[in-house]
Amino acid sequence: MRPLPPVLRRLAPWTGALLAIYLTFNFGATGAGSSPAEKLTPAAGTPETPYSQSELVSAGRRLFLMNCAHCHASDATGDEGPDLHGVRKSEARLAALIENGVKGEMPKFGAKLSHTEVQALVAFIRSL
Amino acid sequence: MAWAGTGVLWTVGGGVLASRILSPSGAWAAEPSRGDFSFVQISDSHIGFNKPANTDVIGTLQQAIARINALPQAPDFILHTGDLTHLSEPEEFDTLDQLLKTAKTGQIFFVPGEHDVISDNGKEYMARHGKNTTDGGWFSFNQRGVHFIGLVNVLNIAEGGLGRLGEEQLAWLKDDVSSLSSSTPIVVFAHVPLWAIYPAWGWGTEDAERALGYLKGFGSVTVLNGHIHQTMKKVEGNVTFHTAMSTAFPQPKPGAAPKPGPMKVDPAILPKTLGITEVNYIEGNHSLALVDAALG
Repeated sequence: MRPLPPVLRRLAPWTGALLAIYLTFNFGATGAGSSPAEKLTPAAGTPETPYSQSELVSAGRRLFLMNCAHCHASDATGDEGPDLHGVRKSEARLAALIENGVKGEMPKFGAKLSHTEVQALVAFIRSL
Repeated sequence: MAWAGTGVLWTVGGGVLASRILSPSGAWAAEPSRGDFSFVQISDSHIGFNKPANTDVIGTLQQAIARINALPQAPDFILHTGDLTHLSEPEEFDTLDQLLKTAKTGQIFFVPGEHDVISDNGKEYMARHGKNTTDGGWFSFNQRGVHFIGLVNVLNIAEGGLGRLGEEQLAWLKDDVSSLSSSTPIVVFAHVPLWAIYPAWGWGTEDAERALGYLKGFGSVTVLNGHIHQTMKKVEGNVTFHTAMSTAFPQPKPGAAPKPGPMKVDPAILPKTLGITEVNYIEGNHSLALVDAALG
């Protein structure tokens, strides 16, 4: 099995401790948020997202519970934010919404989440 | 719009720590301050929120500030227990800063809520309110013999929404209180409740028990939180837990709705969902008297 890159390895169900470490934010050490080094970028010559769909969905679910459930509810049926089941937006549009937010409605996560993490969230939303 | 903003006035004097929700009628304002010093707790301003539960969160915060300014004796300081903003946008922080500049008080202390760190892990919050804190945002200070501890439990939210303090902060807390006399009154404030109010909604802090363990030897510990947008109290041994109302909107009582979130109520009913809370702590015998009464 291909080894997972750090960000998804931390998000794998069997590495909960590592997940906690990753998500513990240290203002002094990093300034704020994910450092550029933590932003996962696919290696040259590999596909844009070199992870299986199930890997992305699993990671996306955890990211969702950490970042999105507060407004969309833990079952994604919506609360302050809309129900995410059956959304018809394209994956590119969903990724843009996550990264850029909606003014006055939804935070922008582009400075917090890596491209792959956004893709994982999109995969999870698509799986609902 | 009907009154929706509120705050909690705390007084400390003669070994008595007391609190009362600021009343819309100004009745509290007519009473003289009883303590050697006083402070006000406000929480969950959610500047930027614009949903039907309250489309004027600026106005209700202004009303809360007006209540503070109407006190016969200006509070020595204000504690804001988080969710200053709704989306952690710079302009939301700007608005809050401008509003709070009108509050007549000596100083304002903050701890972040999850909404203040949601989009950037707290970069904007720390740039504004992290200058006199540890790198992690937590801090402590002393006020006339009372030791205040501001904790951050929203940067590492657990699955299910529970707050989490983390190892580094717990180690700092242990060290921070290690040199204090057991007779020192302790006031801890953080956003997410440090007691398990309703874990199914994330209304609790996963590792709070360890933090409270470091405070077991102290005769008087008061824990002030926000997050749940309603007043709740619990006394457990030497610890008095208290959560404050929001200045923005109410939330359902635990388990009274399918899920937590902004609760729309009739503007005429809104004051009745708020309340007056008095907490009297008697140092020495560790007794605590709690009195609740609706505002409207």
